[in-house]
Amino acid sequence: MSTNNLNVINANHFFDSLNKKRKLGQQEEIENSLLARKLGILFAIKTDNYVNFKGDFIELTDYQLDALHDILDEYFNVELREEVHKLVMSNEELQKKIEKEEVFLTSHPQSTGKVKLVSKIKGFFGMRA
Amino acid sequence: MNTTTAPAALISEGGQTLLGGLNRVFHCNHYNAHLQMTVLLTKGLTKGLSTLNPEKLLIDAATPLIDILKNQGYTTEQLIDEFSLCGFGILQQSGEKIWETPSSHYGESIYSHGKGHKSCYFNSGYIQGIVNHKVTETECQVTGAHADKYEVADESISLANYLTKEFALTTDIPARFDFPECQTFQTQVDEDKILSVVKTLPLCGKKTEGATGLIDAFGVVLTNHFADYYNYISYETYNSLCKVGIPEEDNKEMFIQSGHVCAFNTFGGIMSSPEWYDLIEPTCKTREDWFHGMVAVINALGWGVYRIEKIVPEKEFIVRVYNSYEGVGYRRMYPPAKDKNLSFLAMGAALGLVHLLWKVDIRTRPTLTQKFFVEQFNNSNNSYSAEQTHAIATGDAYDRFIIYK
Repeated sequence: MSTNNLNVINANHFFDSLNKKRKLGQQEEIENSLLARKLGILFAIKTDNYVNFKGDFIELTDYQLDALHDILDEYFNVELREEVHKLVMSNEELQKKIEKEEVFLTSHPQSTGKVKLVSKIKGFFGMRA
Repeated sequence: MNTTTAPAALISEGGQTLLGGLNRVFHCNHYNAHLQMTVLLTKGLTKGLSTLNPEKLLIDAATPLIDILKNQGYTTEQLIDEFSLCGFGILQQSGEKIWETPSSHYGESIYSHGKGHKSCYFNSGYIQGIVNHKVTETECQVTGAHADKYEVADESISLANYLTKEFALTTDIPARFDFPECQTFQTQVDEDKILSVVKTLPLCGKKTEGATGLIDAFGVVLTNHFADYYNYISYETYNSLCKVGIPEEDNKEMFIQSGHVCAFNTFGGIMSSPEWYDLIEPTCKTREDWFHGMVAVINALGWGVYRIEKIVPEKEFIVRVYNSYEGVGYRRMYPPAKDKNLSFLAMGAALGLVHLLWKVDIRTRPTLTQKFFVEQFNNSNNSYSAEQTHAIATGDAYDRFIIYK
């Protein structure tokens, strides 16, 4: 497996799978926002790269996907290789996602430059103007 | 073990509760677990920070505080008694170099999301302070042992006091509702009465025969912990995470979330308790009264003096904290900060209190389960945000928080 492969995963589906597995193991459910924050920090520490888990989609290289499994095992006590493998979006799904983003961009003229999906996981720390 | 030593006197000063000269703050097992989990996230962090070892930090942060108590004349027996009094459990020496806690807050009440591992770091640091030698936990109830055990190494230990800066508590604290910016409030909630009653509640652990040395109250397990222990492990970890490039928002939210979790469990437990319904609820006509009532209770926890400045239901809430234990603690360890948003516990607690009342309405007496926490309380729908506008850590006279939508 090349380490340059990019794997795109729907964040909510990933968190749902994680919690489903934890519940099966009689472990408590963890809310998505906490999962996202913990994973962001753990990833930066383990891989020297910050990955945003707070968006709608998680983008990971093969190397990062391996690191994710190590983190899930150590910090969340779940083995999720099979589930994550199923969640990685196919080329066809990715194409649809890209087309959808292009529609979004063309219908929102102020949105220029790099695509940045709107985070659905709202943080509670604010800095008001 | 029976002792004849008298416990140190508890002194209330400027909203802080001093025992042996060190501020003690009530916190629940959920806060302790969440904060410890956050500190442990830095395990394996070596990039440019070779000295950061979170397990060592969690242990060693306790030791200088015990040294301070010993310098004030505490005997070993008094330290053992106080371990129970503060709700940490039962501490006993069972061999020349073996100590154990057959009952302990960190061994029984703590939880983590990962695999179970030895978790009584604080206890190890406490014993280190007593014996002046390096201490390692060898068995833990978290991993199935019937008691937590600790081994004293030959290696002696001397850890520097991290409370290196002088910083006096302010005496310039306005009376409730008596400062120019304060909104006009009309409430029957009697803070002085609440304070005097809460201070008489038996919130202490016992070490008599059959006792556990734990404080079971309001549906949680409390400790009357060292404020400076929390401050040191929090800010050292926060600073380390900043240095390796973790986005400030993510970093802060982990610590603020500890306060948010604390509010849900402890404030929620208090506002569902028979004591609340006996003493405070009868004086509450409105949701705002519940807010005043809970803030009055907070003022008995050693967290500082909380003063409500403004309540605009469903929109904005402003709370000040004089002598906040986080702000004061920060100034006793570090030079003044530039960043205002540093009182993480208070931010999360204030946010959690607003959520308990204006998001999930604790007055309807919901069952405070983990499921309810995930699906209702902590759900992003209808959530508020928190911001700190004033900070003792930066030189302001008080901490000030805005909770807003």
